[in-house]
Amino acid sequence: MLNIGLATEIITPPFGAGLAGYFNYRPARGVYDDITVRAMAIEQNGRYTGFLTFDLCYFLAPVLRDVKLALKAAGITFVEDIIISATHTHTGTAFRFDNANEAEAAALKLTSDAAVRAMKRALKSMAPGEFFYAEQDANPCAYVRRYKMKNGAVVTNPTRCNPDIVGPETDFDKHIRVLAVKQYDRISAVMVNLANHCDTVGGDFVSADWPGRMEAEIRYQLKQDVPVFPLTDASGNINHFDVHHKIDQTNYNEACRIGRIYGRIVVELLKKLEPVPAGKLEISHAAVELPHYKVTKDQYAAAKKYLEDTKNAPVTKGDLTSEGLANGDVTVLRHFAQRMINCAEKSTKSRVCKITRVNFGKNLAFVTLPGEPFNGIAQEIRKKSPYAKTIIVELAQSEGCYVPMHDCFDRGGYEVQPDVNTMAPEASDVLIAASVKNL
Amino acid sequence: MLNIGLAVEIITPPFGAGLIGYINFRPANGVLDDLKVHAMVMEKNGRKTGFLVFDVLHLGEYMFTGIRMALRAAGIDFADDVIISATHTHTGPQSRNPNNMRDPENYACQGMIDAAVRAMTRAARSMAPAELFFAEKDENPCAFVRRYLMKNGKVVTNPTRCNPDIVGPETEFDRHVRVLAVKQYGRISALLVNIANHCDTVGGTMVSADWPGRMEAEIRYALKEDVPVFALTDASGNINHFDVHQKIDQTNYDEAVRIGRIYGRIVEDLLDKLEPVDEGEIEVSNTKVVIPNRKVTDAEYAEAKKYLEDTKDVPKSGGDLTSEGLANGDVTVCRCFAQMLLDCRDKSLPSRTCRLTRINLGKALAFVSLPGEPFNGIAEAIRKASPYKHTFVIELAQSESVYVPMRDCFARGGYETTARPNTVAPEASDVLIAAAVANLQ
Repeated sequence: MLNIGLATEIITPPFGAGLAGYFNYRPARGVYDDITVRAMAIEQNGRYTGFLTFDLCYFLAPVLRDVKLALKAAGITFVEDIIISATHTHTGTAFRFDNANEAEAAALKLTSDAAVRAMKRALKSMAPGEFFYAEQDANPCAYVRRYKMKNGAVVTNPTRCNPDIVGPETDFDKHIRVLAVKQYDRISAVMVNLANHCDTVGGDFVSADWPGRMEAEIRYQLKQDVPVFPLTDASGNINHFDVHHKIDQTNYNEACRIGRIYGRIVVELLKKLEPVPAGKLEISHAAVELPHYKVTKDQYAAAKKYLEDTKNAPVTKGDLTSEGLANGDVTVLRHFAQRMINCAEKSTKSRVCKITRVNFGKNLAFVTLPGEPFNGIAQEIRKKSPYAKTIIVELAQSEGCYVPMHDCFDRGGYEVQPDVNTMAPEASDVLIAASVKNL
Repeated sequence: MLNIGLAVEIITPPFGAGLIGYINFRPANGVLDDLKVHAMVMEKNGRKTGFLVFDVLHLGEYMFTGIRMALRAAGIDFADDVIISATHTHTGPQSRNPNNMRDPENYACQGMIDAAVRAMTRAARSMAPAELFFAEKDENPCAFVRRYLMKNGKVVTNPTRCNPDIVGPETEFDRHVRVLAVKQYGRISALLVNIANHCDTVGGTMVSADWPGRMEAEIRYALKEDVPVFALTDASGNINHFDVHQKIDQTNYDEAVRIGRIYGRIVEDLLDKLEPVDEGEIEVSNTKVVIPNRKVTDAEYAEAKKYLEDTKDVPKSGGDLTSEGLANGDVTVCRCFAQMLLDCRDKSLPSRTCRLTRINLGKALAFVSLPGEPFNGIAEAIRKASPYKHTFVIELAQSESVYVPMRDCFARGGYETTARPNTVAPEASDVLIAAAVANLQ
């Protein structure tokens, strides 16, 4: 018998708080849709676990620490056994610590306070629950975003309809996995596991991006405020850009379009649910040491030279994103040159990340990954998983960054660009090995 | 230049908290849709005011006081100029009588106060230039006068469906659906919807914001944005959603969804007809009104005592106990009302002092608060006397109160005129209209 409690709280920051995900500073000046934290507490025979899913771009270590400290201070004893993850919305709060303005300081506090409220209310609202599962092998809104070009290199998000595109670098796992919680014979929560980078909105209005719109669609169809937990599958090399369409694909309407498509897929899958008998709740944590990138002398010198050669180039206006790298935007290229230098000068040797497995007997497991691992990492883990269903959650449990596959580094692209404490080529192998062992 | 800030916070109670609105105790054991508090701050030339609208049945005086104190403590120095109101959902937590509260209700009420502070603080930190737009429609397809004249000359509240003794509704009412839209950066950022309809369509033990929540969901879905929709309930003491001509179950969550979607679509249609509001300076006027309480006669008291004695061995009814039980002659419900009549005499104070607030923006627009559940005729009388182009009347606002029927309704009977502790006297409606009209000037 499982007991499950649920709650949602709003974490929309006040205007003036920076939004995370782009290279330029974007203080919020409006709200398209609220960003939230969703909490689920699960109990079986006195053992507790749970989920806290935030509409945030990522977790910096100090933010994660603050959230956990606040939960512990509120008397939640199983904090370390909760899977804490971010959806990766690029229109959620950016937390700065050195130069935080008043709005950002307020946003940090309201975010950790909301997590505490949500988890406490979930714990006060426990009721018998059962799991049900369905999946489909089609993800119509996601694409591998790294393309092989005619010159042999890989470009991330190349210009639309670029005639030099040969094709995507790889394939990916297109499954959309849905785990539904039923309580009192009704669906009380839905967990959705799919791979797609969550950056469709842009600009300076707060938004939960397509996961928020997916939840809105599901809620509208079900006519109830069912909490929808977007557990993002490994999406480091996946996003929503369709390079075959020369239309603007970065706007709020695009988030609505994608959210509604995913929402309707989920609603259809809810008609095909199969029960998942919950076996014994088990939790396993491990620490994995991921090696950091080492910049060569040649790379360092080239970056310095580029910065010197372009120091008088005019600064590009508007949002500065990874697309600028593909387009040869000088402001963006200068940004990456500086990152290369920072990587050489400031990186540590490695970082230790927490990975977690929560399983219910042999039927179902949740596996966390730090940062934005490439989809191939999840595929490898699932291949070795002894569980009937394995839900992989990226951007979880630890601060992280892109974790590209080993062989991607030679081919280039945005995700393999060095920055402070970015991953070394062998990091994916280390992460796969540690995760498989923790299974 | 008008500046407006907006924020919404969730106030869904934990399971176990008693839901209020019926006679029987109903601890929450699920959530159909979240309860919220909607916050708006308005500022013009340094003058600030605002709204806090709670998805609850009503707010007790200790809640009004607690919210204002907490707002002031958080640095909201215009707390006394904020109109605080409730939507009247009957599937929200107990929030009136602190003496009846256990831990879950206390937790929920403290959570509501904290949420109000968070919402107002965030709204105050998120101010941006704004313009106001108005539209209205003289049609309310989901609301009905709930007091019916019967063939015996009496009035019955919510009589049995298709009852052949029904002559017709006791009165007419103002069917206008009024919408005030806030536009910021060329887009709609908030909607204030002023409709008369009693908010009790769900029943049961699952938390729900009732039709106002589903109206907001409908509008948000159509606009594709999380636009806060402020459900400012017009005077609805004698109005509800029951259509006595339809012999179907009209108390369930699907009914709330149906009504919410209908209202949502009406609002959506009105958005195409918005006219700019030429708003002037913000002015706020707070006043107090002493509303006389009901006096029970010796004969009424004796009759109630006798009824309780005569029916003391009758088995109790199961299920939700509501005002419909009075119309249906449910003995358990009738015994409750008999006991309440005794309490009215034994425990009532002579009167209750309530706060009335008027917020106006020049001559174009005014918001008028009313305490408790005034009959719709009270709002009609106030609007008739209003010098403002558009007048939003908001019930269940600023002070704890109860039903305020029109004077002539008392002689005809019905649920709303039954005597309970601190229920109002027949002359209360006249007093309230006079005070509200005086406060309009």
